[in-house]
Amino acid sequence: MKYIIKITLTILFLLSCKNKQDFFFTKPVSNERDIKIKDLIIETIQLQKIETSFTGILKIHGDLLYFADARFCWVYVFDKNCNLLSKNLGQGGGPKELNTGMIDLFEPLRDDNFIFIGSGNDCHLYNNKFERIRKFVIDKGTSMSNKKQMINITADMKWVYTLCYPKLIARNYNNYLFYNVYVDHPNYNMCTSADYYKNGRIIAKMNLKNGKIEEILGRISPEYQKHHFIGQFGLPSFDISSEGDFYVCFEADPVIYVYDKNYSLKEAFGTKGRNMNTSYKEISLINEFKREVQSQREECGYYDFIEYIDERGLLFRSYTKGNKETTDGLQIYKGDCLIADVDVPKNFKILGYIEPYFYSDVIIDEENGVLKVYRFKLDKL
Amino acid sequence: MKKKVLFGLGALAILAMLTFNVSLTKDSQNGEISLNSIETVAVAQAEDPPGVNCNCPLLWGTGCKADNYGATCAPDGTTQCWLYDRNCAS
Repeated sequence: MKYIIKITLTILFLLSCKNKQDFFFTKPVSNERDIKIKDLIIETIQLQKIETSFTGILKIHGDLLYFADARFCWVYVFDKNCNLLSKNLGQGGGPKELNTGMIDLFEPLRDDNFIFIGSGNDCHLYNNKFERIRKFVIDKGTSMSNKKQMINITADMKWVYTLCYPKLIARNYNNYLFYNVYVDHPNYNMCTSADYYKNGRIIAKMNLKNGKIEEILGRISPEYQKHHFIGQFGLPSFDISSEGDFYVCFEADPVIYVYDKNYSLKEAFGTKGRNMNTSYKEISLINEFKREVQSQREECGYYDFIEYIDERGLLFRSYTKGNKETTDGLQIYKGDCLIADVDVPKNFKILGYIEPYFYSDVIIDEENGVLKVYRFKLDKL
Repeated sequence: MKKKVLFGLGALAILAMLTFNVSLTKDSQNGEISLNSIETVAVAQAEDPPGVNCNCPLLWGTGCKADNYGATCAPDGTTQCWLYDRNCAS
């Protein structure tokens, strides 16, 4: 009897040691298509001229557009036709100024407040009149001073993750700010650590009341294990719906993964983009990575950005094709069904929706001293 | 003569006292201003976050930022990593 119990427990234990990555990714992948749109009629609108450093972040919130100049820390507000309504903040220590030197992240929150994050992990919370509410620092729960020298790093160590500066995306849900992360450590990173692709996390969950990182969520798609280090396409994108569902997209994976508010996998779907150059170079040396990353991202295509528009129940995924193509691509999904895969201008990505228009991210034309956006309508969808 | 001298000394004494009081008032005002400055600095410092580790990126990107793990770009305990961006110019 004892032996039977021991054997049963051993078998149960072995079964529970299933690959953790499967928990995040194993689902039948839907490839449904019902193409309703063949092309878009895209308008280009110039934002009313402003004083700017030509580095900044555009966001849509409510029926307004907000441009945060990253260097001067001004926030300009425009109406849906890009007419300037107001200029706010600017660098300084006053209650209606922003006390940071460089805005790395700007995100409107669902309660109509705003958050800014600077290069020193400094977080600044403002109300909708741009009055400062409070300032705090991202808290990863460690005060270690020798982090760079650490050798035995594992993927569950919260302190090792940093904001995904090359493509920083943040979303607000309840009292949390979720932002994408990566690891930039010499002893654990996407260039030299195989474990990173099995166990590395992708999204940080930060409590907006105190800056504490409560969890690091998710895993990297198993698609990456079909290659031997393609970290140059290792920056995930995600959005969160008003219901709390996560829509997650990986640059080298045609599949979109949908998780519920507890980050349990709900479904997976997605169709490959058109005419994408996916001849990815495998790079496992840091110096080679630094030399090649920019050229690789210009030459090859990857799934760049994902945006779920709650008002219309539509999911947009933009993808690049590579520099041999003159356009990039935009896919539109309704539920798990692909309803459009159209050509769009290079580096086009959907930013948001102000009825009846879908707006792109800002196009910064420093040579001509202008900021522009693209917009289009989708009727009968 | 004696009365004139005494009167003169008295006037000088009053003048001296008046001058001393004005000086004290000014110093007191300056003291108050100084105290305000100290309080302002103290509040600002209370709001300043604790230092972070500012480094250049190891793999890609530019800029001196918290929790990168490339080359060191700013003194230990710095809160304003952006002031040292030039140390990471590619």
